[in-house]
Amino acid sequence: MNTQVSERAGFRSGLIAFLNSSLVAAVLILLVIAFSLAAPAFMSTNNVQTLLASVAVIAVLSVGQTFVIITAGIDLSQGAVVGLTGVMGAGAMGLAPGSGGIVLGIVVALITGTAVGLLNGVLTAYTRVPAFIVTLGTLSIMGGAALLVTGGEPIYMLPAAVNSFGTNSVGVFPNIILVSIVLAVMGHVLLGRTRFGRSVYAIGSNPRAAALSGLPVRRNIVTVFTLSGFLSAVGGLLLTSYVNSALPTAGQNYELDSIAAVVIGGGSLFGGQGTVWSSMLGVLLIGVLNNGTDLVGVSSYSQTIILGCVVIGAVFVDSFRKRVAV
Amino acid sequence: MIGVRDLSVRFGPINALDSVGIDIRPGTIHALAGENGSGKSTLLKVLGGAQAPSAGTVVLDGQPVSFPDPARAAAAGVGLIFQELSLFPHLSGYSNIFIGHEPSRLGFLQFKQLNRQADKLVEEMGLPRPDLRLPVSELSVAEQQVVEILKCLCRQPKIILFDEPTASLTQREIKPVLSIMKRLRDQGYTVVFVSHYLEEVFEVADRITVLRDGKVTLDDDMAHIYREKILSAMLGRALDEFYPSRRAGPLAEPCLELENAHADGIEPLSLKVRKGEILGVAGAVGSGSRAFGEMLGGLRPMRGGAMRLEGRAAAFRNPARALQAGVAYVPEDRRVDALLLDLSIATNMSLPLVAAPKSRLVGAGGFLRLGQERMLVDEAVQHSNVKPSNPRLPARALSGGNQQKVVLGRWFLHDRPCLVLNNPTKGVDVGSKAEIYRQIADLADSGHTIILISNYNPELIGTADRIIAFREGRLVATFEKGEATEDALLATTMGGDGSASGAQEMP
Repeated sequence: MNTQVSERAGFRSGLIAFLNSSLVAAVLILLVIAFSLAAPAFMSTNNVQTLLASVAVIAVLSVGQTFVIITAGIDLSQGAVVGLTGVMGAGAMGLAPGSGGIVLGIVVALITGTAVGLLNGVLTAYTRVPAFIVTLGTLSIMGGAALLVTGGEPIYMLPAAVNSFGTNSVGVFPNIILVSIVLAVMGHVLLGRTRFGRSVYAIGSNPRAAALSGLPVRRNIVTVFTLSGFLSAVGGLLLTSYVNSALPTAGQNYELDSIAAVVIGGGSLFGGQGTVWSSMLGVLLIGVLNNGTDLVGVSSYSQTIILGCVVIGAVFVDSFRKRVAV
Repeated sequence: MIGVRDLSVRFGPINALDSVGIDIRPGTIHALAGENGSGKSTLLKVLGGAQAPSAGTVVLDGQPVSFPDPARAAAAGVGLIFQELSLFPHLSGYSNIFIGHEPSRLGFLQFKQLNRQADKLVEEMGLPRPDLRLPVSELSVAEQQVVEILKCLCRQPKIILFDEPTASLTQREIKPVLSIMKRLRDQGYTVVFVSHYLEEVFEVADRITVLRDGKVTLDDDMAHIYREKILSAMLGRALDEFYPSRRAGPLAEPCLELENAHADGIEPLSLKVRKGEILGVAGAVGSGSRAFGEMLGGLRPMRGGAMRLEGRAAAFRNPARALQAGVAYVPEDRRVDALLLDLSIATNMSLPLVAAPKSRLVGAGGFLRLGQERMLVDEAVQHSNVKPSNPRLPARALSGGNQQKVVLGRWFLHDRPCLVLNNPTKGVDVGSKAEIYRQIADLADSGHTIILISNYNPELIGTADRIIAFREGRLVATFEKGEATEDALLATTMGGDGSASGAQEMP
């Protein structure tokens, strides 16, 4: 009887794991088919490029958000960091001529984002303030800082190379989505195949057990938030190069999309669950929904309603999955 | 009178209950016993309307009845008190007692009336009196239990079903709960309870039903019952060789040496523990036995004195340092402190090894050697006899005994010379207990030092080479092999004549 039970349970958990990752993939494929039938322009090279470019920043943010959410944390400051690092980077690029300025801008942006992430991590790991509140605070602080350093004005006049990078493509792949893909692959490997990644799951699942097993729990939490901050800075740079300007409020609400993407992909806000790969499926689902509904003439007001329904639906399916799984 | 006829409950391919028929006489205390998974809790849930039978009937006062939910059972006079307390932690005791059927006038709750009613109930029953104005999260577990009982009583049941009423209580807290049960019986209530503890069955029950694999293996008045009869009905075999014999004794070399070591909650103590020795640590809850283990495991900082591990000076700031030096601490509450419940058995088992510096599972750049991990985990699952043996299953899917085997299996993968085990067989079924004792003996035979902290003295006597006893933070006695008796240990740990003993877990 015991072996029978184990085989069934094994088979079932395998099936559920498969459904769980491929359910999103299946919905994604269905949507792509439906939109290409409804709007022939959907599959045009031009539109595919637009679609991919539109999700590049969210994709990078979602990689960081996946790590944070798996530790049972949340990073609400991502959008604000995108805005802040965008204007800091763009501002710094103006300080030196040519490629020197570009490098300076990139370094300033990355350091800024990493520092904010470090702050989030240290506050979350070493105080009793929950991540939600810490990052809600830094969301507000960094949003204000971005407005302060720019006086609320956008920064134009970027080096030409920046915009040409942001708008050029390799085939159907815009440069900026290539950056996202590389980072997502690195994130996926880091999460799935390294000691650090394993620690992230363990800490999210049970921090006390992780500590008793010898893992440096606090240090890993700091690392995870720092990573999210760094990736938000990359997002800020990508967005700046894509729109050829830096707006202090450019990243507003981006964190909501990245959280939505992780959750649609099956990440659990209670920690211990999720993968970068499935979060990327969530990103694509959001991108395809927005782009496709645009093409078939759904107003952008209705789009946010649809996205909201998808998020709730995904978590509903997920909660059902947990009830049957164990 | 309540009973069941030809009752079966199936969960998929498993027969949780198989054609069970029992009668429970009014005004008696009836115990349901059996190993984990024997069906005893399922039977209780069917009686209380929390589980629908697949076949058969529940009979109440000669009439077949069916309770689709606990509320319907309560209306018919059958109250069920769950194992996990089902109270709302932020609400007061009073609110919890009346939740769901508060008397109201024009939609406003009649608080004064409610509270008077509850107070009257407490007085009538002669119950110990928790402060019912406080949020129940501020009450002790035993007091919460009283609130839970009051909540049941105010629905005016005739029959009260308790699912493991003492499982989460300390020995000191058990006694009052047992006397409440007796008082309920004396007032004419019928009491049915599920228990893991033989002693409490003997203390209060009038009749016992033992289940094994969903079938009744013993159903008799307590007057005809003795301990071995219950155990063999539970196990389906005699209980010989329950505690394993050792193949080797302790070695001469010391592993762990303490000199005037002390920490919060432990007075200075000096001690040498040899390689291959099982050192039993006895003591009531709060006596310092647990604090002693936490000090060794790096969870409780040493305040002074010296500790040496295999000759090297050691003082651990945190569990990671202790592990690195060679001491692994296995906590008491595996679900809260040890397991990653939603992650796989494999991830659970390999975690300390993965976390270890210079781990053989971690290559350059922090990359995991996944193939080797799979191999080692398969081996450990076999060795520890974890069932089901599929390492990809989440730890949540295992029974308590198998979860504990996973937790102990970690230290086969990540071999540490000194293991501190805090109540490793608590909440574990009898069959798994025997396997865990065997594993502990094997570890000691292979030269490991085992510090076995337990609140259950018979298992210390059965397994340890030497037993130290704590009381009020002090090491008060040392018993060499063969010196310790249950009475002596109890007297030492209780600090009196031993009469303050509570029930002890069987066997």
